[in-house]
Amino acid sequence: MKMIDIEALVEKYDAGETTLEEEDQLAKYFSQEKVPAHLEVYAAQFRMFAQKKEESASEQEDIAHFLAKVEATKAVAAPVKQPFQVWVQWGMRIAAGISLVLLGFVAGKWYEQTNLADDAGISTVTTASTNELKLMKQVLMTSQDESSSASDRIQAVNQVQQLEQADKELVQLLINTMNFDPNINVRIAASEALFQFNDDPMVRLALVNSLKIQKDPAIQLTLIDMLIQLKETRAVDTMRKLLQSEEVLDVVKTKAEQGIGTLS
Amino acid sequence: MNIDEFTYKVLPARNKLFRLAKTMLQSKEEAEDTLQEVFLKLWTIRQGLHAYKSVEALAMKMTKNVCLNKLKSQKQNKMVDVMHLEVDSGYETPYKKVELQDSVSIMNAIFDELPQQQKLIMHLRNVEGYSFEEIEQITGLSINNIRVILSRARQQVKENYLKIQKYEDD
Repeated sequence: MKMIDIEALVEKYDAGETTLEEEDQLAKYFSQEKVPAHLEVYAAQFRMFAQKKEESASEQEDIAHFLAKVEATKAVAAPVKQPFQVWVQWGMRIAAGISLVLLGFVAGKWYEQTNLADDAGISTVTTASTNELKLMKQVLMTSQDESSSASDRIQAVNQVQQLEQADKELVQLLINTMNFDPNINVRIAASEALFQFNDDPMVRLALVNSLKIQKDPAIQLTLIDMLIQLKETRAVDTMRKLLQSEEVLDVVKTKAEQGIGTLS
Repeated sequence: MNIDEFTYKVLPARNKLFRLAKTMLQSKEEAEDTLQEVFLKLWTIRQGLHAYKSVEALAMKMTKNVCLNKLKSQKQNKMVDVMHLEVDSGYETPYKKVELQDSVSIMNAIFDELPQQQKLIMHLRNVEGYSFEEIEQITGLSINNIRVILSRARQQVKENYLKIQKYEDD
């Protein structure tokens, strides 16, 4: 190729106007060893391009193999689910949920029954655990020796009030508390607790008898009220005695009169 | 599109994609990572490949974009590229001097230092021999724009080369 052509081509090349064919020609020309010094800059360029063209990615594992592996992992990761399978899966889940609920019911029933059988003599505890009950009894029993505070005992009595039934031991404890507790408030609370269990003849009798012993007007009033409500005629005699007593307050006397009127 | 068809249609572009990535990222390892990423992307959209006029142009475009993303995140992470540090430190090791005496190596260094866009266009045109229309498809630039960038790149290369030569002659 003539020198003039190259010069012209190079100029066009710099302006970015050469066609691909012309650039091919240039590349061919500059691939020869000897070029004029002032064209060395182009020679260097085209040699670099030629070198770059030879570069190739290192032979990694076969790309097709690689893609097949990708597909395989994908297939394992997310198997295509049939609609039927989905339904079965959901069905199983729902069934498991329902059976858990049923199991809960059955277990509850069974637990209740065994509890009844175990504590045949003792009443069923529905709102307080056996442990709590023991604690309550302990507190009430210590009322005599001052080792528990009045508020502790009131709390214990209040807890008893929440029970629906009470065993004999507990009733006896309450009666003792009502009659002999040093604190008046505890005594009133105990009487109120006992009133809950007024089906028990022992409780009724205890209330009647307690009125004979009690000296405090507040508890006297409470007891009279209760006895009136229970329509306990056995208490009439005691009330008459109260009327005659000189130590009894007028308020209590009025109440007792009212009681006598209602009961007899 | 199954694996055989994919291998037949897309794989021949492999070396071109690799060269583009290497030119842009200047690291063989990163270029190969990019290559794998691009192939994976192509594989996931293989059902839609029929819609493209040229799968090769699409693959080149994807490679370019992946590379640009990588460069961007490199910048954000302020990754210190040891290779660049060496080039930028005015000090030249004897080894470097010997290397730079070779005109092609000088040209390589100049080429690597070009702005990303000029480098990209020059690579596509002179190394891969793409027509302006194909470059337009890959880069999304207009043909006129491509011409201007290309001519600027060529002049820049020439200027830098002559500067270095003059410095060496002095």
